[in-house]
Amino acid sequence: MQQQNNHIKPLADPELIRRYLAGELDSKAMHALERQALDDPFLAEALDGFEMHAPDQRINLADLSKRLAQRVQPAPKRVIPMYLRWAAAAAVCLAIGSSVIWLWPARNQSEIAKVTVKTDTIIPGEVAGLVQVPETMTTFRKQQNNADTKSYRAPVVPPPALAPAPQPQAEVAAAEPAPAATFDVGKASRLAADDNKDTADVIASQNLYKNNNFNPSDVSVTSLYSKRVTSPSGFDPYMIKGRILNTKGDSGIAGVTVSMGAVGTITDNEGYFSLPNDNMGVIPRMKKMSSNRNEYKQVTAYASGYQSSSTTFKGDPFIRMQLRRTTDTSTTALSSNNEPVPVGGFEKFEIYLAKNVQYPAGLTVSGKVRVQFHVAPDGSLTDFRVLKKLQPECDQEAIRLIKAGPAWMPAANGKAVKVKVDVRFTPEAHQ
Amino acid sequence: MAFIHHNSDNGAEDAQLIRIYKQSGKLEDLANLYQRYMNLVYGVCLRYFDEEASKDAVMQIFEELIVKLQHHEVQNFKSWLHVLTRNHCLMKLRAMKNKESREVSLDGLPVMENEQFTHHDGGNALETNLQEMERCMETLPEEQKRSVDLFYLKEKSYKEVADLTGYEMKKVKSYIQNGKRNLKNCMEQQNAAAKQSY
Repeated sequence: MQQQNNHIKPLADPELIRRYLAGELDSKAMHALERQALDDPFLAEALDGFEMHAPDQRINLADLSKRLAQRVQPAPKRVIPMYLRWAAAAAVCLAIGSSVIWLWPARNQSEIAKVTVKTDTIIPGEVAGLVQVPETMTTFRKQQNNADTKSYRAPVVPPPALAPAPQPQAEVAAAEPAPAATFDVGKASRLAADDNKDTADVIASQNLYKNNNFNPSDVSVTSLYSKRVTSPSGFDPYMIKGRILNTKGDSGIAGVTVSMGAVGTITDNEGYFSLPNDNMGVIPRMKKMSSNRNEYKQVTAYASGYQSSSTTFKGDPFIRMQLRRTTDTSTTALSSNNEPVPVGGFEKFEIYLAKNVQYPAGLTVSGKVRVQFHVAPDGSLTDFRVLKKLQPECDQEAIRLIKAGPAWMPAANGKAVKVKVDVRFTPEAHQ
Repeated sequence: MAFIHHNSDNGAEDAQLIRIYKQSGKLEDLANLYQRYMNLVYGVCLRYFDEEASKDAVMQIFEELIVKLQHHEVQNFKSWLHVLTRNHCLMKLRAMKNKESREVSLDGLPVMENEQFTHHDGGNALETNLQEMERCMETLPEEQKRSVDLFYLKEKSYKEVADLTGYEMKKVKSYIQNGKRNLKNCMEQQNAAAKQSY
């Protein structure tokens, strides 16, 4: 048994209990423990519990001690990688920034791409035609959120950046504090565009709310992202950067948990985050975009008091997501504070449900089964309950489907949270 | 008795650890306290769940402790933690009962008597009044008498009692528990009668 403090030992020696149950004690010691148990209902009940399982629980007890130790001191483990990520993010931004600065005068002279770039203004609609924004990129966005074709924002046109940045220029930007550099550089390149952009965000998000007349089965996810096409040379393919903003888009949200697959991070005071991206880099980015869509990862953001949101990461150098306050919405059927998120995001989860539902044979009913369950703090799903029944077979299938489906990320507050999911059954679709 | 003495010491130590935690609010301090009982908590959980779920429950109970200890004035931490653990498990079970995938019967579980808590250190009285006890012993049913005699006076283990008497292990356990309770009742009655006669 590992113990943190030598002087603080468990009152009922686990080793003694183990040996008692394994029959390794002599009768005197057995009697002593039994007698102790008679005066100690806690010990007695624990002994009963241990008796029902394998006598050797040392592995589990050691595991518990470890979990407790981790629970008690989570802080140092997180801080260091976060700091490193920021340092990496800052370095990447310096590189981007310096290339932008270096290209500034050069751009006016050579109109390489024959784009009449005044200042980097947004040219919605026309952009795709003017700049070589890969066609695939645009189509992806359209598929992405079926409801937000309107809200989908045109990419900001970058200077036609082409040459690698020379090192000396980096010192100019280096004078700025590191985290600030992360965004200041990005902004500096398109000062003129910023005002427009923010208003665009507002309009876009409003459209989004109108369009998303949330069906209770739909997950209330709003995600809006702006793509900033930067020069590939200054972009670190191993880091994903972005910012989480409020619905107005005028201020970042701090403390949002952002995750992609197994990695996650938390936004800083300004709502900025950066995530390591192990998936990219091996294959060139543009190629990747035209390849199978399923390879893209889902980036999910959730925070207490906000509806969680997820978007598909498609190699964007900068992801921008907006979170809606839970109090802003009238659709509370699915979302609450600190809500759990299925791994891969709600969208994928919905797709999973639709694709994998098996319509029970011999039935003709159609409709939906609403299943409620708890996502325990460890991510396990418990307490399944069917709130809206259809046919017993369908009810069973709905539960099976959810159980067999993607894992869930537990709520941020460490509590078990109730989740309701609708599973649709339509006979025609599953002939 | 050595173990009883031990208990009161632990009670004081618990109280001190609680004080430290309340002052500092540090989770490490709470963990120090919790570690003393973690295997018991785990054992109790094992009565209701499998090993993995039990471990989760142990961690959840710790989370509960973080909050509850700050707000409650706890006198006897051990008993309190026992009740907390048990309630946590029962609540979870109850929630699970509605779920079709896992059937757990609550009926089979013995209900804990409050009395056992209030007489936590009742063992003392038993041992100081041996004579009275012997008189009371005669009032017990035969099985209880034999089991209690072998266990308490001859200091045999459950297994030995079972071997000597031919009773089942489980029966032996309940004979001893019931016998002990009957004895206590009997002696309390005698005490009350003695007081009245003064």
